[in-house]
Amino acid sequence: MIEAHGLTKKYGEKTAVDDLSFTVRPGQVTGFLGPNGSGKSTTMRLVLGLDSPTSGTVTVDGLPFRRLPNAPRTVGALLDAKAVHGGRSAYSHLLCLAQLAGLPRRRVDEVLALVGLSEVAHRRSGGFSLGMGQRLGIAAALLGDPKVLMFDEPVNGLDPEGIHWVRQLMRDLAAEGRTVFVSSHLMSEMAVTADHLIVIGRGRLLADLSTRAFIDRHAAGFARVRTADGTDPDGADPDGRRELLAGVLRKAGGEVTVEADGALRVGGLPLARISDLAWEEKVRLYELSPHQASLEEAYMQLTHGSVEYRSVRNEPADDEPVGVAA
Amino acid sequence: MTVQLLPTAPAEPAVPRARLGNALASEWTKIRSVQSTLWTLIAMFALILGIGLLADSYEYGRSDGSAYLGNGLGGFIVGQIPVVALGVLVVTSEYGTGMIRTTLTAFPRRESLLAAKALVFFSLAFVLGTAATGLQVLGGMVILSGQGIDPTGGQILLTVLGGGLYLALIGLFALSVGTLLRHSAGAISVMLGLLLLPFILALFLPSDWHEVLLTYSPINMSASLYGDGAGTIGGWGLLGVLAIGTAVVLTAAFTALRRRDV
Repeated sequence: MIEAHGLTKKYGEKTAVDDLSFTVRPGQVTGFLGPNGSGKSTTMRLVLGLDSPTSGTVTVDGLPFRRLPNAPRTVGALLDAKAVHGGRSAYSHLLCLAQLAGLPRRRVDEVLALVGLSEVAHRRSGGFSLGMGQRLGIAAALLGDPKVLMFDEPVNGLDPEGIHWVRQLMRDLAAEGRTVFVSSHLMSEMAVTADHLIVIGRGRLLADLSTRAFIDRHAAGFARVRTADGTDPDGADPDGRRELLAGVLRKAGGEVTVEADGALRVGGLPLARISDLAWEEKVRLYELSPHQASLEEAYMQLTHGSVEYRSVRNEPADDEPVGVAA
Repeated sequence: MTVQLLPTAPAEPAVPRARLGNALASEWTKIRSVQSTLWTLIAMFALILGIGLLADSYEYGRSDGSAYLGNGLGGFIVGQIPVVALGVLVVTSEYGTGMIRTTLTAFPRRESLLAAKALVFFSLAFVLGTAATGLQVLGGMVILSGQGIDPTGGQILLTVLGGGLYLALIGLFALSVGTLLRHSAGAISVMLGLLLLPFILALFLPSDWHEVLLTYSPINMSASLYGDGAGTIGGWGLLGVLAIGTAVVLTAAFTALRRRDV
């Protein structure tokens, strides 16, 4: 469990983190989202006691990080995969970290096997690819078998197989009851990995909600409906059947717009209901397909808004869902 | 009447507290698992032992009957440079690579970490520095025994043990400067300036300044260890001054590391 209360960090005049309060709970993957420069890494450094907050507090397992009796046994962190001495072998790197926590050498071999680096354990880590470096960083985070795990952009530089592996690893760690806190600037990545989202922009909290709620709220689906008579390339509607259906759907509570090619874009009505209404009006359909608005788009709108209109930051939930025509 | 003030603690698996001993083991692993340690120590040996023995050999058969202990001084002065570089690198290599963030995430007790770095480096520099000066003095006595003034027991002790202590102290001073500056090239430059400038500046300054700068310059401290120094304070006394100076800079390094953001 990570708890932040009114966390603020100023570097001179610049406020990197601004009155941030949140709780990261065990048993789920919590995604920490924000554009580059929004204060994610600063927040993680504050959690890890590397930087001291200007005001506010943050605790891990109820204690400020620097007061933990044996930090690696409580918190494992991957901040920057390149934060290793390139002249040292992967094994020596992990050994010196294991010794800091009083862990046996056996544990180094275990985590090396776990991340798939056993074969290159005695090579200089400076020659590692970005993906191998990322695996080494994850191995370091797992050394102390910690209850809380923090990963800063863990899939950066990984190949698809590596990305799949990291996602699965994070879900497995969360399923074991651990607290998993993962930062990313990619909404699409978090949508498939995280159970819960904490979104920040310009150091301020924008949203703190489950991924499902975020998707429901910000990327509601819509249906594309094409009537038999409205299929001309110029979008003509010679018999007025499309207009008839559009009127019926609007009356039933749908949000309807006509797209350039003559199809209807319908939000707020389930597909079955649209089909039933068309049937009642004897309007033949050539297409009735479900669509999901892009989460990335929703996320950009949310974070972009925070930059321009800081006063509305507390009402992200009331934003007009993106992708649904008004 | 007894009152139980503390309820029984919940059954958590006992986690051993991280201690200085853990950091010492870790720092020992760190210092011996990078090439730069090996190369700087080889350089120190090559300079102190190599140049010293070369000077001794050169004098073989040409001695004017003076004390030959001072033959080792030239090598000792340049031999400090790799020790200083290693002292700086023990800390700044962590900042240069970003390793410091990994280290302090795994061990947030910063004072203990710096203490461990200082102890491991100091011990290593003292043991190997003493070995280097000792072997050089021994070699000189084998080559030149009876050809000049042989060193007394007290002089040998000052050169060998004092020399090792000096190298360890000046290296620890460098380690502290490295902690304060967090930058390899900057800290090594500052240390080279401190090693060489006082002696050079003293030549151009009015005599009252001249005295002070000359006496307390690292080069004069080194010379004093080899029975050749200026001033009245003597080799051991100058070592004491260096120890005090090192303690001051090291204290500043502790304070800076504790307070600063990483």
